[in-house]
Amino acid sequence: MPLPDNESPAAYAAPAEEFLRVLLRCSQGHISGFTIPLTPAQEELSIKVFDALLSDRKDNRDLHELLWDLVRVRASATESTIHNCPFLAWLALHAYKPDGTYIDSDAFAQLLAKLKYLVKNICMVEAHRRQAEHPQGIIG
Amino acid sequence: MHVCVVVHDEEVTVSFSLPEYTPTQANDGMALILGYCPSIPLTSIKGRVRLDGAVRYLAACETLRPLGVVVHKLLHVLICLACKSCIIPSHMPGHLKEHGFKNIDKIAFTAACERWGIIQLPERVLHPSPRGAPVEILKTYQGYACAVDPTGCSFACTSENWMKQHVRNDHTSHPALMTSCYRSNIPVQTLFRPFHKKYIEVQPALCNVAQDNVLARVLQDFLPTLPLPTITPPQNDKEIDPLLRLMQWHKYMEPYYLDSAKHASVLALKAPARQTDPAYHRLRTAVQDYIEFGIHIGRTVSPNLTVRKHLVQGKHLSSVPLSVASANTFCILRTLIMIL
Repeated sequence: MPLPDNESPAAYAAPAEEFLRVLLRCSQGHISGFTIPLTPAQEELSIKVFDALLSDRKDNRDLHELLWDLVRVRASATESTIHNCPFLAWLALHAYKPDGTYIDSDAFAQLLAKLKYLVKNICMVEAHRRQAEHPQGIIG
Repeated sequence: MHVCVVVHDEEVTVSFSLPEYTPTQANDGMALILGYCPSIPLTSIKGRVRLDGAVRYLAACETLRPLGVVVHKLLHVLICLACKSCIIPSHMPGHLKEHGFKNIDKIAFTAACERWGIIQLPERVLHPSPRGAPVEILKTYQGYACAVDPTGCSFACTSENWMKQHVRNDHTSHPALMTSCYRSNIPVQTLFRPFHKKYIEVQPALCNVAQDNVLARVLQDFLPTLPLPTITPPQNDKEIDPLLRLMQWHKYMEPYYLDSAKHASVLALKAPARQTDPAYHRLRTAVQDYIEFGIHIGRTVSPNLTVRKHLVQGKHLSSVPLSVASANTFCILRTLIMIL
């Protein structure tokens, strides 16, 4: 199903950008000591993304591989918790406000909608990538 | 003459009487008592004079009144009523020419300055203590006040960049979040301008308020000594709302809101990228391009393309089908949305 027309990609990109910014800062060793739980493979991919950003490469392959690895599920039996899910850990930080309180449910619902959009987008790019590799499909 | 001053850092009131009022000696004596010397840095609270909001310090005489100049009896400076700033006596002839005075009786003026004990060098002038009553007549600006060390540093200015430079240079162990290191929109005054500027935070609410008034004591003495407020965690589940109870953010973030330094540093973690940080600055463009690429695929590629078909039939078959693979992520989001 194609994504609906979106008049404000920047608004939808903002949560993803913040998530990746926090993830990259944590993986580079931030003074706060806050951690985003990543698998070793995801840590390697985050380093690749950071290098790609440093070298100003326009190719988004590294970025997609990191995002795809983050949203796909490795072991269905493993329950996602705030201690092992990068998104849930970031949500805690995102929700944390300067006055020590947390965002309300209204703001949180809007954020989740944007994240859902991001997941759909990642899946669409992944599907497109696989279609390019096998135009006719394996099954035919 | 009886003069009351307070040495801010020692929290004591010093009173002394002079049998014969000679203003120059009075100021020198005050400087001696306060341990003042010209080398006191701009940020120090030492060597300050506390102004009493209920006392009128301005005075004039027959020589100075026609020149539009008054004397501040405690600070021993001349204040130009038109410019609303202090004037050094040696600059007075030139300054008065700007206001249309061509012939000045220099002998009478010098005698008046000596009589009032006007201080000749701006660096020898005792400045008012911070957060006190404003100096009468002087212009008040909206500026910035240092918040890193409220009891030890009184630095104030009117430029945000200047304030940031002060924080970086004079407080090397300042909190990571720069905006928490200073307060904005603070009323400040400077005795002299454009040269010898030294901004002082003032409290307009203390106009007409006596020094020993409880309001003055609270605003000037008590509030700055208070520690930064801490946020206590909830004692039981009934104190938190359902969303927080479900997400458990408060438990995960507990180390950060119990420590102000950690609190500031973790907020800095999600701060926007700076221009000087090219990698993070490019991230915004990269993510936007990525989102737009997904939109482009949705608009242009064959309608036969579905996420489900191509994820299932791709070369690298997922170890778990899409219906399961993406289900976990979707499931978390859907559950949360339904709960909300």
